[in-house]
Amino acid sequence: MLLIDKYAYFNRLNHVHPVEKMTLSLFLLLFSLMVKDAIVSLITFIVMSAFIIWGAKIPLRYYVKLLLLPGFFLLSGIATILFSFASIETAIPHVLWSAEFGSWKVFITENNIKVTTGLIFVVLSSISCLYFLTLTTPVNAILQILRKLKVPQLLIEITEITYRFIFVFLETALSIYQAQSSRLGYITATKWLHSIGLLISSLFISVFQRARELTIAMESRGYTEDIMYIDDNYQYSAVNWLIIIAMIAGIITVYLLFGGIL
Amino acid sequence: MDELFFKIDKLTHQYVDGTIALKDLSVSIKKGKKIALLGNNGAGKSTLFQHFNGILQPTTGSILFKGEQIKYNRKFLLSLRKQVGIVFQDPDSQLFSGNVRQDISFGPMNLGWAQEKVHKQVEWAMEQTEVTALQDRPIHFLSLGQKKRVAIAGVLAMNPDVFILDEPSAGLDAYYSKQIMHILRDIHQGDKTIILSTHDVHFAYEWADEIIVMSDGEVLYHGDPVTVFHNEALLNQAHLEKPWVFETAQQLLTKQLLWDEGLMPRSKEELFQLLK
Repeated sequence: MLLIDKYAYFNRLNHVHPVEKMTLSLFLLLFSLMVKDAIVSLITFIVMSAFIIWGAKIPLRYYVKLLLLPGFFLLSGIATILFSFASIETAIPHVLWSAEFGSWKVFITENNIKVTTGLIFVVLSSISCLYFLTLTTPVNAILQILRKLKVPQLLIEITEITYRFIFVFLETALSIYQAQSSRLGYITATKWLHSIGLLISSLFISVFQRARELTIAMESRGYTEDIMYIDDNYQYSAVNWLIIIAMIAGIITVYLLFGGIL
Repeated sequence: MDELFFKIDKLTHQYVDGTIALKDLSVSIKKGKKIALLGNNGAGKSTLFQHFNGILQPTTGSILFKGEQIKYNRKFLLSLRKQVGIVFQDPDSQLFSGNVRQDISFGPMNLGWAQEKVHKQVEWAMEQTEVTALQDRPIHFLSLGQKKRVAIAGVLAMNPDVFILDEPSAGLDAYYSKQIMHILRDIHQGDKTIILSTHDVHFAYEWADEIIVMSDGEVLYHGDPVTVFHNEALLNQAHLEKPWVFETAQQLLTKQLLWDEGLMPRSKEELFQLLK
């Protein structure tokens, strides 16, 4: 089972109305992307992380692990932005550091630093907003809201079935893997390659089989055009809305008063 | 005269790979019956079930539903499937929604019922199958037995006239097999017919009004659940065992330890009653 998915169902905020969680996280996400201000991003990151750790009670260790994942991409992205190259004769203003390699030089300018720090802050705040949503809200709750917002049915149904199938395939792949390794399919490198090939091809076949079986089962339950369910019941809470509005107002005030300080 | 749900006449089904799954099969399904379909693996039980739901089309032969020839167009199939519900053997191929309650409500919503009725039916089906406590769980957190019960609830909630179950007790422990047997006894009412395939002869013997025995794409026997177990040759051909209640009663009768009242006991309780 995917832990990230498990937390989405079992966390302390799962009874909170998904609209409330979506409003908060998406507003903060869009706002910090729009204003691209370091202090706004930093506050967003801190607030969202606090909600994840203390509000939803997601273990800190797990959250840090999750942050490391995009952190890796962030680092590799930063490296290319931070360092610039030019031929050795080029004169460059505001250089903070440089090194020469033959007829080339590598250097970092003040501007590079500015862009990089800005990027780090924006990325961290956006990630924390998205993690807040994914760690507290199950996929089907989000889809239920998207349905209400009249997002095209086709898109929602594809998402829904894809989501379900991720787990079917993880399970299938795992059981094939276990069956293979219990018969020593992975003891040497060549056997490994052979077994993994078999695993992938049989998984591929089972994709089609599963899809066909599911279509049959859905049709035999009267499926025609739209997938319809009874909605899950969530209650709006006045307190939550007050908190959300206060936070939105707060972050806007911070931006107006202290924007651009960092 | 009993009214019929299905009248199948000389049905042959050949798969694209050339396998002949059903051979010249003729069978009638009456209203208001509990029917158990017995047969070895590969006897064609699942293929026959798919014909009941219009999923497969006959290679030759005809199928009448309530006296009307099944047509394989969208409209007819939709109305057929609203009246005939089928629970597949592998619950993973049937369940797809986010959580248990949603999945169970999928069928009833497709029937176009009002919200309250859908709610009521879903609640009822969840109670019957004892999955109410799981209703907010996503499907991928369930065990096989739980998935199986959810799959049954999903069709049960649609309240079909003909309720078909492909091996409902396979993969379930004794407690839940028995539970499902009780459900199937309770929900059987009036004109509704339940058809299930099973390898559990004890269950079939106790529960069914009629037993159909299939082997190699043909119907070997269709009739009451007692006569079939007297026919040794047939049992051998279809790889069937005798139910222990039946076998014990037979032994006791030959040794004259049991009063012969002309009726064979169908359950443990009935057998014990006779012993007194």
